[in-house]
Amino acid sequence: MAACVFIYNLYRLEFLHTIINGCVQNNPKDQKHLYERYYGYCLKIVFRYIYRYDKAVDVVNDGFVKVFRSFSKFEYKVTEHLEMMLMGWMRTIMIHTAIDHLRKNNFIPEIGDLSESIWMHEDKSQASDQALLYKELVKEIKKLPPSYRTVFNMYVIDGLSHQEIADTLGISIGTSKSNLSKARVILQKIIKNNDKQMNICSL
Amino acid sequence: MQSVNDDMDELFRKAAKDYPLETGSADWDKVVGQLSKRERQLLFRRYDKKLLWLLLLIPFSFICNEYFVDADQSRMAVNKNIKAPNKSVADKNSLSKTNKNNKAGPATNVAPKFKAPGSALYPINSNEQQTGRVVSKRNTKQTEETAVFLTDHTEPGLFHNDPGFYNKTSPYFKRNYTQIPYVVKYPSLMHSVKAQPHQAIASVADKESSRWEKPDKRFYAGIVGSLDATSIQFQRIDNPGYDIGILLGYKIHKKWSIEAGLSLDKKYYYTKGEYFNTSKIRAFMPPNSEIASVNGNCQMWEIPLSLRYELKTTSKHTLSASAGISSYLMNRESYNYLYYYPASGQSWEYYKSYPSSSKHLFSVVQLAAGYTVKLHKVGDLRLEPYMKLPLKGMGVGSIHLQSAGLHVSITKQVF
Repeated sequence: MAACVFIYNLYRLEFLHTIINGCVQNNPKDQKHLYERYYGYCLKIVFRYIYRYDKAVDVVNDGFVKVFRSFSKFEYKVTEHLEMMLMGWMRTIMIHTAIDHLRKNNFIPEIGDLSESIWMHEDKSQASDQALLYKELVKEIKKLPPSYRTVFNMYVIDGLSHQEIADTLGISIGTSKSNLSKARVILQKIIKNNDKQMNICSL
Repeated sequence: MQSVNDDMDELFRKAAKDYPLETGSADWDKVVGQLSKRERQLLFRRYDKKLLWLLLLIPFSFICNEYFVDADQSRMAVNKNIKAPNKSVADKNSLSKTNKNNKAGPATNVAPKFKAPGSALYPINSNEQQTGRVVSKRNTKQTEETAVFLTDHTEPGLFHNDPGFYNKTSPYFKRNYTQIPYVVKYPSLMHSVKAQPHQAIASVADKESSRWEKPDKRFYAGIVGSLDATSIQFQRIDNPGYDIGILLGYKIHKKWSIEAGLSLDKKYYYTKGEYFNTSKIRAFMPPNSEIASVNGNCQMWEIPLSLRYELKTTSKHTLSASAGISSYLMNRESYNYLYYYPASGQSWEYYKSYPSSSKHLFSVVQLAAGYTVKLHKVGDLRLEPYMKLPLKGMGVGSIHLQSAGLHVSITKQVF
């Protein structure tokens, strides 16, 4: 069994290396493979930053264009961590592309409800309850003002430091910390309110 | 509090990883379209330089066209060698009398081959005295136009004894009249020449031929192309640009000319951020960022207006100098910004294209020195190194575009 897993991982690594090489040489087939393989992953990152789903899709496509154009700059070694390195590199590009989009709009908050069709509907099971919870949490993140939302995503979920956030957004470290603190306050209030409602319902 | 934050953070991290988002909206065709568009832009920039070689074909087409036209014209060219005729040019007052008095007979003395464009032959009957032949007259306001018929000088009795000669319905008249493609204008000279007929005709012929072959042409036109190097504040030059257009000139004096033109220019340039005015783009820049450098290009229409002075002229060459002023109508500007955050030194590249146009009238001074070679019938080939200096900032970044290059033009006197 372990041998099968090992061989499978080797195969995946070799396949990934082939795709990366193909993308460096601008091979359309390999580019398409990469795009289809990591589209969902990138969309989930970008959708946390961009409020509207259709805009998030556009930003992801723009991000992939940047990925393919700058593939020659991706430095890697063929190790077991190759996929992690690739995903981390793409994550950085997607985040920067999303921030560029927000900057173009001057971080103006967007209004309107999110359509239910953008969410994946799971079957009714325990896992789906968890998925619903996660969906609601992400919706609350998206309701934050863009500047708070961006800092929260970058610090809490994407793991950047305040220094890196300040450099990327062109703000001070103090502003970054302040925005994060405000975002947390808002989200904690929402969670507490939801808990209260759940307690009331359970009574 | 910290533990609450940590727990909350962990919850949100899990939520961000596993939340149920519909991810079936992938559209590879869109991405391909965007990639192809960029590649086409890059490819076109590469081919820009290859297309410059096509400029060399333009003078060849001009030369070929000239040779074909000349071949056609040479069939109807004026013959400068005029043989002395026996008789003078007609006196209109004696025309009717002469025609009545002349006896019938063939034209013994063959008329000189006085070839105007259209090869009108002007035969003269030796029996006539100091007269010529007039088929028809048309009185105009200033001069009398006399139609000279095209005829075969071997045919006898065509000119004065034929009873139907002046009858428009007669076959002779019809045939001869219809063979006249051109009308020769004979002003008052026709009536004043008496004693020296052949000289009179020759002088008339010379004047006519000289008028046809060497008119006083003051207007000239041509095509011009050039390779161009543009810099801003004498910084490094990015890529060579080019321009191609037309040139119109008017010779106001033997040595002085006024020239105007219209050309399509493509300029490439580079500048450090300090020479790029960000007042028009500050609203779109990231906060607290600065521009480190800009690589740009612009397509524009240029309208130059200049005064040209011929320093030295020989039969084959001309040295000249010119000074003028140009207007730029900028069509599209494209910039690749490298901006950075001074606090951290982190930098970003950002590409932006501005399709809207801006006009900068009389904004550039042009100085040039020219060397012109006469190419016989083709025209004049002019090589003109030039320098263009801006009087004010232009474009989105109010940049001072300085250009230098070599104009290659072919001009021809038109009328």
